[in-house]
Amino acid sequence: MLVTLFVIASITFFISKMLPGTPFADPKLTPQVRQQLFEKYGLDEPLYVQYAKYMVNVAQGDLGNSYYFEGRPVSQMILSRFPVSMFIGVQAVIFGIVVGLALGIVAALRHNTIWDTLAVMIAVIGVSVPTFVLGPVLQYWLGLKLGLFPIAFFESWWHSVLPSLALSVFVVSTVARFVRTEMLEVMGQDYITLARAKGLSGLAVIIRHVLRNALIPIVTVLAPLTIYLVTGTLVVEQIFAVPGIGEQFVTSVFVNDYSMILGTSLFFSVLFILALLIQDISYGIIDPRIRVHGAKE
Amino acid sequence: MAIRRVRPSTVRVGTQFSRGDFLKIGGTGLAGATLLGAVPGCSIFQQDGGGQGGGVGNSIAVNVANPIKDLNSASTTDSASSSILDNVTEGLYRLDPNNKPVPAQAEGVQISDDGLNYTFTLRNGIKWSNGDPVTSHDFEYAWLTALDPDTANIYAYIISTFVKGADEFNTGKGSAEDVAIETPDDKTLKVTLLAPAPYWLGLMAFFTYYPQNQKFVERQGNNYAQTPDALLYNGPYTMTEFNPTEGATLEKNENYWDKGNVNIQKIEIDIVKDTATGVNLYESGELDNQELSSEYVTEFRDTPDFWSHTLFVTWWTVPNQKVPILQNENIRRALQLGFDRKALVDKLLNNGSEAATGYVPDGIAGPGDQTFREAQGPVLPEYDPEKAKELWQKGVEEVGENPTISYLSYDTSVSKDISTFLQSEYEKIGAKIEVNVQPYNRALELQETGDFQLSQFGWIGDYDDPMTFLDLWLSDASFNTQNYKNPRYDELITAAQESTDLKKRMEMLLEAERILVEEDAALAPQYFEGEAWLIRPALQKSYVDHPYGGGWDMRWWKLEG
Amino acid sequence: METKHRDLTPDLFGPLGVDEQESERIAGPPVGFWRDAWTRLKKNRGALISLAIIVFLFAMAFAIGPLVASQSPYAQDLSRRFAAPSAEFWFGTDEFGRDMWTRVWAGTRVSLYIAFLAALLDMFVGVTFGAVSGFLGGRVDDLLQRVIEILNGIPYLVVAILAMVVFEPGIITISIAIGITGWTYMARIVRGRMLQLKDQEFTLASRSLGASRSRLVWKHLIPNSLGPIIVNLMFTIPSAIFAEAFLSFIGLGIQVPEASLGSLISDGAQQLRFHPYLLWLPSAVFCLIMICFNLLGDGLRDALDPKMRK
Repeated sequence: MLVTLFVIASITFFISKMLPGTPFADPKLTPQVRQQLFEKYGLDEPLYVQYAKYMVNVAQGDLGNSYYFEGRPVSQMILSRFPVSMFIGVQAVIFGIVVGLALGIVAALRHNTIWDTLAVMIAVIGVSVPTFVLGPVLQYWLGLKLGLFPIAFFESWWHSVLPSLALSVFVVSTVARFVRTEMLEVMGQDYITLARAKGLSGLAVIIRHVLRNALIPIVTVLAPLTIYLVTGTLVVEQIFAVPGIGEQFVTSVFVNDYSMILGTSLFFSVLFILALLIQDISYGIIDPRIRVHGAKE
Repeated sequence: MAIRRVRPSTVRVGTQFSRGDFLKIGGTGLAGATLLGAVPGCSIFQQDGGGQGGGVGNSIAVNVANPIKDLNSASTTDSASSSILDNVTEGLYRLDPNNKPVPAQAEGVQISDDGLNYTFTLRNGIKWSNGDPVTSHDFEYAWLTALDPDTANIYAYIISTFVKGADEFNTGKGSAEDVAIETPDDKTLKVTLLAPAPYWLGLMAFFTYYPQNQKFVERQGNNYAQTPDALLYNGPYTMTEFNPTEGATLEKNENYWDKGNVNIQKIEIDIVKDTATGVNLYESGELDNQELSSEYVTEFRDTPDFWSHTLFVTWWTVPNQKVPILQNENIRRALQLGFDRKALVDKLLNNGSEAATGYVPDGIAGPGDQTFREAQGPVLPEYDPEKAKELWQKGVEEVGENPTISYLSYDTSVSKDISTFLQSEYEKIGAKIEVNVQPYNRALELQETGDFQLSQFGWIGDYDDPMTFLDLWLSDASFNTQNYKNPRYDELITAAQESTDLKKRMEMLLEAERILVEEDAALAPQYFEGEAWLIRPALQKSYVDHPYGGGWDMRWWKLEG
Repeated sequence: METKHRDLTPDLFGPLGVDEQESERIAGPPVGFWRDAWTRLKKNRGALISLAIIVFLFAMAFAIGPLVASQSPYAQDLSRRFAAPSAEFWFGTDEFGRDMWTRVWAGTRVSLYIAFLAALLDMFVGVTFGAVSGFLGGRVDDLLQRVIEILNGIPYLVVAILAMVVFEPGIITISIAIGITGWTYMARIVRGRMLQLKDQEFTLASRSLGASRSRLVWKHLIPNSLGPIIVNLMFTIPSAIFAEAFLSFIGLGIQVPEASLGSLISDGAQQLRFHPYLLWLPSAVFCLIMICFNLLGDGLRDALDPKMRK
C-alpha cells in the first residue's frame, strides 16, 4: 500500500508541475518579481531537488504550506475542511442507500409491471439531472421561496439537508438500478425457488438469499461512490457556500497551488485505498466462495 | 435424480413483503442519519458564521466573494484581503467619498516646491490595538519590508515607481539604507520622490503603504496575520474572527482616533462565490451587498437596491504585431471599428460598463480640473461595419492572405461571452477568428510570453493618473509582449516620467494616447468597466467603494433611514 | 397451499419414475444465444419503445434537425436575444440571439459522439483489464489492481486540465479526458463478476470437460458477465455526457461557440431564474436519452441473461 501511495504521490507531483502556469498568477506580475517569488519558495531549484525535498517532508508527515493561502499549512486546511464534506457525503449516501434500496426492491418485486417502469424512470431521472441544476433549483424553491431550509453556509444540521439532498439523488438512482438488476438476476436462480418450495416466507427469502447475493456489485459501487461524495462535489459546496474539501481542491488545481494539490491527492488516495480494502473484505464476508488471492488455481 | 426445471418469469415473492417492512427499513435509516447529525455535528458546524446581515442592531454582512489569501499588508495582493486590511489598518492618508486624499494617521504634510520632498507629521494619540503608539518607524519598516526582494511582493512597484532609491533596493542593486525614507523622530516621516507626482498622495491609502509594528511582527514570526491575535489594528475596525475560506468579523475599534465618525458597529465578511446564491441571500436579508451579473441586472435595475459605478479599468483587444496580418494598419483599424461597442456594453454586459471612447478610462485625472477623457475627447471611430469590411479587404490584399486568427480568452463567463460576440462580429467583416479559451493562469502565462495572436486584455489602474495605463506600451515594458514599438511614443512617455512641469507632462500624455489609439491603432478598446451591485438602501447613500487605492472604505459607511 | 390442511404421511409419497429418454429430450428447437436474445427483447415493450425513440433522436440529431433548421448554430443577432419559444424559433433563442432548435440538435450530436467514444474506451480497456485481472487472479490480479489504485489516486481534474491543454480542445480530447480514468470502474465490475463466476459449478463443469481457457472466457464467463457489463455501459453513456457537463461547468468542456448538451445545460442553469426554457429544453432531450438508454439496457440485460430463458 505504501508503494502505491509513493507512486501516486510521485506521478501527481510531476504532472502538477506540468500544469501550465504557476501559483503566482496576477496581471501585475512582472518576470522580475516572478523570479523573486520562485527563489522565495524554492521553485527555482531543479525539479529532482524539489521532488526529493518534498518526498522527504511527506515521509515525515509534513505536507508543506499552501502557495495560495500565505503561510497556511496544507494539512491543517485539509483536516479542517474534510469533516464537513464527509458529513454531507455520508448523509447523502445513507439517505441514498435507504431510498435506493426501497426503489430497487419494489422494482424487482414488481418486475415488468407499472411499478417497475415507474421506479426505473424515477431512478433514471435522478441520474439525468446534474447537481449544478438540482442544487440551484432546490436552493431557490425550498430555500428562498418557501423558506423551509437555509440558503447557504453550514451552521447547523438543518443547513446540511439541501446539499445532502442534492448529492443523494445520484446515489438513489445508482443504488436502485443495481439493486434491481442484481435482485432480478438472483431471483431467477434455482436456490431461490428451492427455498420457496421449502416454505420460507417472502421476506426471509429476500433478506437471507437475494439481498446477500445482490450485495456484491453494490459493494463494488459503494466504495468509489462514497469516496466521490465524501470528498465533496465542487458544485454543491460552491452553490451552498459550504466550506468543504472538494471546492478547496478544485480551486487549488486552477491556481496551481502545488502543495495543496499534492496534499489533497494523497489524502484522497489514502481514503480510496482504505475503501478498496474494506470492499475486498466485504467481498470475502458476503460470498466466501470468492478467493481473492487465487489460492486454488 | 433430475429435477424438472421450472422457470417462472416472475417470482411473486412480494405478497408477504408489506409496506410495513419498507417503513421499518426506511425509518431506521433516517434515524441513523439524524443521529449521525446530532452527535458529532456540534464541532463541525460553523460557529456564529454567515448570514447575519440586514442592518439589524447596526451591523451588516458583506460578501467579498473570494478567499482571503494574505493579511500581511507588506506582501498581499488580493482584493478580499485588501477589503479587510483597508478597514482594520490605516495609512498616512485616506480617500474621502470623492476619492480625494484626506489626512488619516498623518495630520498633515509639507511638500517642497519642486514636488519631490514630502514631510509627513503624524497625528497625536494614534495607537495600535496593543497600546503601542503608531510611529514613523512603523511606516518605514513596512515600506522597506514590502520593497525587500526576499518578500517578493508583486506590488513593490507601487512604492518603487515613485520613491527614490526604492527600485535599486527592490532589484537587489542597492540597500535598504539607500531608500529615501527618513524618520528624524517618532512623529515625522520624510520621503523623497523621483519626480513630482501630485497623485502619489492618494496612494497613501493603498495597503502596501500601511504601517506595521516591527516588534510585534517579528515576535509573531511565521504566525503573523494567521489569526486575529496575530495582527495589530490602527484603523476604524478591529478583526475579531477570521477564517481564510469562510470569512471574518470586524468590530468598531474603540481606540481609533476618529471613532466618533464611525457609524457601523459590526461588519460580517462572508465569502459566497456563486452569484445566484448571493442574490438569494440578499433577498432573504442575510447579505447586505451582492455583485450582479448581467442577467440579474435587468431584473433589479429599477429597484431601490440597485447601485452601479465605474472603475479605473479598461478592457481591449490586443493584436500581437509579430503576426504578419496584424502588422497591417488597415487590419488593426478594422478591428477597432468592426464591432458594435454599444451592443456589447448594453446587451452583453449590462452592468454599468461604458463603451470605450479611448484607452484611458473615464474618471482618471487630466489637466487642471478636467478628467483625461474630458480633455482628450473620443479618439476611437464609431462602429462602422461597412468601412470595417473595406479596410479588412484592403489589408488582406496588402498582406496577401486572410488566415484564421486565434483569439485568446480567459475562462470567465464574461470573457467567453465577449470573445464569442467578437468572433461573430469580425466574421461579418470578413475575418476568420477562432476562439481559444484558457484557464486564467494559463492565459496570463501565454500573454506574458507573447504566445498569442489576438487577446482579450484588461488593466486596472493603480493610481489616479493616466501614466498607470500609458506606461504599459513602452517598447521595453515587461507587459508589452505584443511587439508594439514606436520611438516617438517611447520618447513622450519617458519625458513625461521625468518631467517636472505638470502642465507639459499632461500634454505629452494626451499626445501619447492619440498616437497609440488614433495613429497606430495599436489596440481595439472595448469598454470601461463598471459594476452593478445590490446594496441595502439604508447603506447606499453613504456607500464608498474607491476606484483605486483600496476599495471598500467602511469608515464612511452609515446605516441611515 | 392446500397441503397445510391434509395429513401428510410418508406412504403418500412414491417415486415419480423418471423416463431417461424423456428427461434428456430437448424441449424446444435449439436456438443460438443471440437469436434467442433478440426474440426475448422483442417481447419487452418498454425496451422496444426506447429503441425506437433512440433511433428517432439519432435521426433528429444527424439528419432531420439540420435539414429543418433555417439557421446556423452560430448565427448571432443581439436584437432577438432571449426570445421564448415561438412559431419562428421553436426552441427560442439564447443570449446571443442564436436559434436554440439548431443548437440543441448540434449539441446532441456532439454529446452522442463523446458518449460513444468514451463508452468504447470503457468497453475495450475496462472489460479486457477486468477480465484478465479477475480470471488470471493471483499476482497478475494484484499487480493490475495496484495499477487501478494508482490511476484512481491521481486527481482526475489535473489529468483533465492537462489533456485539455496539451491536446487541441475538441471532442476527441474530451472523450479521452473522460475515459482515461472512467474505465477503471468497468474493470472492477468485470473483475468482481469474474471472481464470482470462476468458482461456480458450471465453470468447474466446463473445465472438467476439458474446455480451453479461451473457450471458457469467451463462451461462458463473458456472456454471463454481460448483464453487469451492459448495465454499466448504459451508465457510461449518460455519465460521460454528465462528466462533459461538469467539465463545461468548470470551463474545460467544449469550446465556444460549439455546443454540447452538457454545455447547453450548464449555460441554461445560469439562466434558470429568468429564461428557464434555456435549461428545460436541452435537459428534456438529455433525460429522454437517459431514460431510453436505460430501458433499452434493461431489456438487453433481460434478453441476454441465459437464466431468464423461458
